Amino acid sequence: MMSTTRIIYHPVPFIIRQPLTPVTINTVLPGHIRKVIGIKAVHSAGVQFMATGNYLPVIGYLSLEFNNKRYHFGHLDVPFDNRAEASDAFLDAAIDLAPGSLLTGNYENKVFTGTDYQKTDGTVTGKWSNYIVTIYLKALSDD
Amino acid sequence: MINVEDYVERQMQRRETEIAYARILPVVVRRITDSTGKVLNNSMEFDAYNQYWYLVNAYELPIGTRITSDTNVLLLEAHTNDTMEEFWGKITIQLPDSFTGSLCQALFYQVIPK
Repeated sequence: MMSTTRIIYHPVPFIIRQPLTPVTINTVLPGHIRKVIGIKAVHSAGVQFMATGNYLPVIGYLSLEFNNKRYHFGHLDVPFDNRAEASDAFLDAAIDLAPGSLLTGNYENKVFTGTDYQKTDGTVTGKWSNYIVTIYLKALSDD
Repeated sequence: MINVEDYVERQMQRRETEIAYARILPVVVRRITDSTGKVLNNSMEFDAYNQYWYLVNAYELPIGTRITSDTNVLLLEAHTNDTMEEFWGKITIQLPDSFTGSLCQALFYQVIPK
């Protein structure tokens, strides 16, 4: 049977549990993904419990590497955007993937980092809310 | 304890990268205060593009030290000599507020690929 290539959207979610601790991303991408053609990182849930408005241009920085750390895609600003006009655009990419290769990177939270959110002993206060960021990979799949 | 040369050699082999040059490089971060004790500076920043920097002495740095770079962010929360962190790009070393000494030395293994 002839294999077909189609576009899929592969989500990679992660949770931010503390304001100051960086989050490490270290996951093996499915072997059927051949090429990444678009990337976006969105806030999924959580920040709305801390923010007073419905838009923050940057809640954190995301750094991503593909192909077992051989290719550094760069940094993405991750916004919090609960507005109706929020952009859902993907950033263009053209990254050929080695089958079953690692997606690595890290995320550094940049908001609500004061002592009223994290005490000096490292524990978070009741004002802090864990939140989820999801990386969406627009990819060509052989599946 | 990890042997840094073996570790780096293996890392580069896995990426099909050859090492052109490598050396141990100390980076001194000074904590500067004014006459009232107010901290004027307790961080330093430098460019390390097109090269890999491996932190060798994480166990000697104060808890709470934060090192950020284009490819890695490290918040030192516990002392161990069994990890090896890699940095690339603009590297910033930020000492914690709890550090009261005058200087701190981070030791890196710098690798320049061919």
